[in-house]
Amino acid sequence: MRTEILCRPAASVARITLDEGESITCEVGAMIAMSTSLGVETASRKRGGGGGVLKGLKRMFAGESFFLNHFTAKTNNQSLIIGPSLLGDIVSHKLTGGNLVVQGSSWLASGSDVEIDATWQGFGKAIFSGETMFWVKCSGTGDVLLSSFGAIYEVQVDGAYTVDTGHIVAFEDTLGFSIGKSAGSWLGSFLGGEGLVCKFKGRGKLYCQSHNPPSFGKLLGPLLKAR
Amino acid sequence: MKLTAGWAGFGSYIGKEGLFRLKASGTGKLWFGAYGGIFTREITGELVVDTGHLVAYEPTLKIHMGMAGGIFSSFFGGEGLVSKIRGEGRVYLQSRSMGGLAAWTNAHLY
Amino acid sequence: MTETSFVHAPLGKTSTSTEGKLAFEIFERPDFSILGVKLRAGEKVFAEPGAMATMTPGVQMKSGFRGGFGRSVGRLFGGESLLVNTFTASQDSEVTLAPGPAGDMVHHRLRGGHLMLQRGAFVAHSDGIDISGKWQGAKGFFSGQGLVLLKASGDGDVFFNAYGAIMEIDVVDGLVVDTGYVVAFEDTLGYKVSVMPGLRPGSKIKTFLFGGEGLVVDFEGRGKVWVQTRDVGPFLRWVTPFRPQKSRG
Repeated sequence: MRTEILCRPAASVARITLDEGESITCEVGAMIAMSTSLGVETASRKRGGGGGVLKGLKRMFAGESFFLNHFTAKTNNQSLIIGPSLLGDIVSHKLTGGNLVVQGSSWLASGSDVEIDATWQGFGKAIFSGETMFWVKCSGTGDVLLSSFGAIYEVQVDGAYTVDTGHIVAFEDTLGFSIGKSAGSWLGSFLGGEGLVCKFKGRGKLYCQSHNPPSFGKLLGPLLKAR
Repeated sequence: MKLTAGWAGFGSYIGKEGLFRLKASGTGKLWFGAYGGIFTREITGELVVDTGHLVAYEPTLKIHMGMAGGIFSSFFGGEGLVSKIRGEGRVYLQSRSMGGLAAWTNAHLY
Repeated sequence: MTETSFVHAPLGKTSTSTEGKLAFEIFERPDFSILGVKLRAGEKVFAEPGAMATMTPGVQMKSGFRGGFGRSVGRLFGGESLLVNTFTASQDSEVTLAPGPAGDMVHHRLRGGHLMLQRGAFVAHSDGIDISGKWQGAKGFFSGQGLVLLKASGDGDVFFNAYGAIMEIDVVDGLVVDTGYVVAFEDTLGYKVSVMPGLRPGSKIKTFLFGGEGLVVDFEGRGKVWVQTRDVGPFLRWVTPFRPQKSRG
């Protein structure tokens, strides 16, 4: 499986090239264009061996279940172009046995041998009620494609690092973390953010995004028709 | 640099852009954010601007509310209310507007 | 897709073309592309209602009868043709035109051929271009048509935009595209809309004309397809939790 990121940096898409028998799992709605010999099915359970267990897919998020699509190439050299819902970039993270915790709306796709667990509640239910944020734990080996709102930047945490929760894309769970209010939390709520920060400790990789999806949602949402 | 908030008048309220404008004076660099790319136009006379695209303007310019093509076509033309900017000076514009984004989004909802 | 090549519309803050009938510039590319048209006395440009960002004195704007950008899309169905605002210059002037979503814009010069455009992608056209847009109405959509197409013909300029970036794909070997991401295509291509089973289960959000719903276009033959890299459907699903809720009673 080959991955290329195109149309960077603000409206990036990923082009995946698959040979016969190879497959990839993507968030539903991500498919933009593809070759004519790719089979697609909606996943709750993967067929065939090789791990890739999917947990928590019946989980409701904002009234919608978290559904996935599997694409499998029927012949060689099949292309699949996928993209996320928001404007921003895409980055590929290579899993080699560890765990990566990914913010729900940033999880775009992962290789067929990556296990996906959408029931991860490490931050506690009370804080992210599930209305605007949920988390997916990825484990095993393979690539995980992450999407960002705005630019994506990588931090190699070694000690401590604090970031507004809306700006977290993904992090390795070798990092310890604690949630707290930011110093000017009244300002955070005024600007539409959660006013919550996450203090990471230890060593591990952290991916962040330059823009804050919940802040943008709160800015645009009230201008839209009621549901 | 000094930032003072000023009352922009009821004209702005009708334009739905908010009631307050920030006035910056002094020397130094001012960063301002916008939705879209920021571009400028030098005005020597008059320019009609869809209010949602207006970001900033030099105080030598005056803003008036107007109708894009006459009362009838403005109501149906989808342009809404526009601002007429008169005088000599530079105006900062953004190549998108939140109103345009909301209208585009709403056009797909029913 | 071994021979289908992908070309990202050229990067660069500003583009223009000597091929254009109108003197124009597309600037703030590629993320917030806006069209600037310089009109001489007597020249016209026809644009999507709501697109005007600025206009200098000496331009008269007239809107199409029954025009209006915010009307519900449902009322567009029923065989209506495209309604535009006409900008006519009485002296050297400039009009800048901006679409709603963030994204790129492309200029296409037609010389007698045809270009198929998705309804939402149209920004503007010059004199000499005829746009016809008779679509089948709501029935056609619900039966799985999915595409709401305009056909541009004649000799002149067509400007179309996208949400996100625009990829120009030269189809040789067939191509499947989610209906929401099709921006435009040359009419030398054959196309068929169908539901791709397994692509997506039903959604609770009521929308029209969006991607990610399992509707795809199968292209065959040879020609260019312009594909956008974002779509309103997935964006709507993301933004829905932030919309106001109707109060009961």
